[in-house]
Amino acid sequence: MQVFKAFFKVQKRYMIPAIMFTLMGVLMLIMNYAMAHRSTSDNGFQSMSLPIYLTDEDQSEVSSLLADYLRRTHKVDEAECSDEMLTERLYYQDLAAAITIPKGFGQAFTDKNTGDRMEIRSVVDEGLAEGHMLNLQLKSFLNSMYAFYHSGMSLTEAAAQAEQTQASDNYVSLVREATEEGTVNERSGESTSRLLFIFIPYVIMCSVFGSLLPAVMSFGESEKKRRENASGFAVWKRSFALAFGSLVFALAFCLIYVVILAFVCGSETFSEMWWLMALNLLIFTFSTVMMMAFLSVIPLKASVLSSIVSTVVSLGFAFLGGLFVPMQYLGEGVKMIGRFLPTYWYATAVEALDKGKGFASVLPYFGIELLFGLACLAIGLALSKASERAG
Amino acid sequence: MAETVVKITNLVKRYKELIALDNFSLEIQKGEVFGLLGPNGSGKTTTINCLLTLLSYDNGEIELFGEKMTSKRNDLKARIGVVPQQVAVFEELTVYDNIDFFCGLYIKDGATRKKYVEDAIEFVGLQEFTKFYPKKLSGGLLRRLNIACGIAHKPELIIFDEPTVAVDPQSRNKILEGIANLNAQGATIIYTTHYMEEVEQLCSRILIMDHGKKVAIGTKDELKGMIKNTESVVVNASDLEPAFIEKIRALNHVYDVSYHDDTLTVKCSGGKHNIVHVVDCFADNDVKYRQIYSILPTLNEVFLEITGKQLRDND
Amino acid sequence: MYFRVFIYRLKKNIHDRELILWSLLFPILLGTFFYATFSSIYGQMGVQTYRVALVNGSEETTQFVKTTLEGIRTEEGAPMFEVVIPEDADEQKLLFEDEVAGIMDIANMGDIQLRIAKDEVAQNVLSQVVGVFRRNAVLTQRAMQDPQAAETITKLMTEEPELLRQINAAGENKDPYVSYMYALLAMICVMASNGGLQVPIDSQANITQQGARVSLTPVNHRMYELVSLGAAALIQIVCTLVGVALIRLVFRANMGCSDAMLILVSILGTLLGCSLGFALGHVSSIRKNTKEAILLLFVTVGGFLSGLMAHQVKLLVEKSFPLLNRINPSAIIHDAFFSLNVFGMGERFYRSLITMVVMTVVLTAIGLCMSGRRSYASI
Repeated sequence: MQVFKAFFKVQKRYMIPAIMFTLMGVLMLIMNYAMAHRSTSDNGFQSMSLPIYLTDEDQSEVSSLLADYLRRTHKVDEAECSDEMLTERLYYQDLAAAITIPKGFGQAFTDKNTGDRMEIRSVVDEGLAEGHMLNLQLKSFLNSMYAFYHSGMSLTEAAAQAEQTQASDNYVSLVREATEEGTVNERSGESTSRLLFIFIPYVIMCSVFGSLLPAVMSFGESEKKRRENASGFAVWKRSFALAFGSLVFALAFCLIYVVILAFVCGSETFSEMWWLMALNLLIFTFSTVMMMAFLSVIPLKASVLSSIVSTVVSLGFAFLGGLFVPMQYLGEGVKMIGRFLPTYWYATAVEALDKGKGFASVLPYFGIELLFGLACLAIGLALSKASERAG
Repeated sequence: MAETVVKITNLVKRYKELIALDNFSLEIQKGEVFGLLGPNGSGKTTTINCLLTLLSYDNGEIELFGEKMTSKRNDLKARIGVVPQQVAVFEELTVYDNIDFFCGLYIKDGATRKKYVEDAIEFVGLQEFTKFYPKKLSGGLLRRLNIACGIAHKPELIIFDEPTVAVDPQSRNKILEGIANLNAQGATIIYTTHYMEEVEQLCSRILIMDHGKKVAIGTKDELKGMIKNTESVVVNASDLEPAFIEKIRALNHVYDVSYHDDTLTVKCSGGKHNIVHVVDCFADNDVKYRQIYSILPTLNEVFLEITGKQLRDND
Repeated sequence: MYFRVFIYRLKKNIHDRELILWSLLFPILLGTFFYATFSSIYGQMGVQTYRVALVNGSEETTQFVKTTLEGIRTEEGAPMFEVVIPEDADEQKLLFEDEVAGIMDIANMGDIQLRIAKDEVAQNVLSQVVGVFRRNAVLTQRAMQDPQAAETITKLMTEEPELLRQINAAGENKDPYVSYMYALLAMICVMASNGGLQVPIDSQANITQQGARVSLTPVNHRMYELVSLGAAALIQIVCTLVGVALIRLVFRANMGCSDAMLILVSILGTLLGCSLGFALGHVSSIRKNTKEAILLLFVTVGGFLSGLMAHQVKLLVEKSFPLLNRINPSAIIHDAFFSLNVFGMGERFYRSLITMVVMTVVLTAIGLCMSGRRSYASI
């Protein structure tokens, strides 16, 4: 109890980084929440709805029919925006395309002879399939409308017919693979819970390594250790008290986020998926505390080690484990390395839960996360023993 | 008339409610080894820091070498050397580099600096350790490096703030010899310590301060003269009669007598030849003794009598 | 004298193993992590050759659809589709095992059906192509129903008008994931603040004993600190350039700008980082631990806001609180790299560059102003 109480007192000195990282976590939650613009679709296939910027300089019947079609099929932004900002938004893939309907396009479109001289400008990143897909769709719609119009339909009829022929729900079906657990691919989009739960381990690592690690290390300073050893206070009791103290703090960090997530996940809160994601986070927190036990025996100054670990290790684990970048984009090499990290299994569990898998499916991932922690703890204890023997 | 090197007049320094220096005044003459004594928290380090203009003060004046000392007086700073209580060297530089670095902040001429650095190394006896990093040095060697960094530029006034804390007797002896040598070479020394024997050995004049005030000042003999007990006569003798003890007590200048475990302690205040008077008394009464000797008061006793025995760090 | 101070401060910093370890380890490790994570993502997002299975078609229609699909080319001229004709009945397996992006049921050319198992770009591209087949079927049917329009319709189907012009977005390297590298370099630059912070720590009497000793010397204190800052900056610049060299020479990452500009921005960014630490180090009312925590805040939160953890964050800040991007050192440095890549050496790049220089000068001046005070109320 004595060490446990002392740990709390020492920890007070490191509350600034703890508060700072918690604030950073909350800020990240807010930002991610703001960026979570993709809606969840539990139904069948829906043509990809992409963010596009539209400038209608023409304001003709043709341009308004086209704009209406785009508004129905994509997320159209028509608010005023500078060229510089448009370029920036295209670069960051905030926009898939910036489309401009030039003045006179409508007239040229309806005039059979000049129609091919007036073009809609679509700025896309040609390196991305999304842009190609969008232009393919737009081109197809325009050509269909053009063909239907010039084969005798009115503009409105031509536009409706063009849209009808391209309505994917008429001819595309999303099939699902049947498994022992039931049907997978039940959800095709990203749930809010996935978007918000996925990066929390990074903040947990920062908080634990940035504020708990130096406090634990201060108990490991050789002179203090010698004094404690001389006092006859059982080493296991000391280690247990430190581990328990660290765990209490780490769980407090975890709880803060779980409570916030309960508020921001909307209708998903307290669903089976949400509870399992929260459990996943809890297990990861346990694992991180055990990882810290290993790191605390590294013979470096506490402040330096804590800074290195809370930035380099946390960021490295987050990127290699797929916390910041969706797993599907990670290369095979990265995934190979990631398999040795608890963040990878955390992210894998979140992705699986997001896809509707149940407890039985993610249980092995939980187990690997814990195993990683236990392995770190064992190595830490062995190193600690070895250094004690070495004097 | 000797030149006044340090002159502090009515210095007042407050830390919020606490008065650290209370109208403190002091003068130190050229060539002196001046001991600054006082219990913890008495204001010694504050005095030194004010003197060096590291600390601002609320009132009073400080003159060094006859001129007003301010933080911008680089000409005066160049004439001072400081050996702080804690070792103030760069862990990342070798012994030679540390001394050369700090000396280089005073001495611009390369050849002179090189000579001064070598002199300082020789002076503190670190010739074999010039390429060592501070981490590799023992406590004593580290203290010597700390001194070398403070004196390498051959200052006229050197301030030693407890330079022998946690140092083994050999290193301490070396340091004290060095300080005496520096003084012999013409430097004025201000020396603060808790070790009274060092002050007795080194200082020509001593100031005892407490609660931010000057309590006593003078040579060690003058200070010893300020306390009641000027001599203790100790006699080893068995079975002394109470009547005989009363005769001893009646002797001139004796103010206290105690007898325990065959040891008679006679405390005298003032007077000369007190031991002779005690020996005569034994002879006149035909009382035998095994051993008789006289103990003069130490500075430690002077210090404790003047400042009291209450622990200060508990305040 | 000050040259010697510079040399000794340089020596001191080089032997500060923890500072050097920290300054070098960070770019090397994170550079490697970032490169491993991001180098291949953009490539995967481009148009690829999608495999598609054709089922239930007659030999003639299968051949027609196959030829049509294989004739569609990407901008680079590579085939967009590779057609698979499954021999056994379990074509669904191909779908679930990701062997094909979709299965086209061409039993009825007037009503081609597409089966998919995923909802990704490949499936969307495929659905658009199927849409074109279906449109042509409708037009053919219309031509048959209305012989008067038949000629026009046939002409329209064979000679499609050019109604859309695709323009490539600006940028030397359009890979948005390279912005993670910019954010990383910005973070390395801001982390140089640790080197800058050490200068006042080593020279302020109220912080360290070494500082007290320096304060007692007759040197010009401001000059001493400026020279020390120069030495710290030099070390930090070398460490940053190690990171740059790793990114350019080892990983050969395309940063979207010339190496000379990359180095210039990195150097100016590092100077900005150093001056940030230098200014903060002089705030005497804050403890050293708190100063280190504040710098860590600049590094992590500043890094996060400049897109270190999610690259769109910087854009989100630009849209919502653009001022934050003008004062966040990480965002300013990031923006210099970004604008070089996307807009070239233009107004925006110079704005970033000037902001960096002005901030460096202002922060250094603030530090120097505060360093002028050499007496303290308490030590």
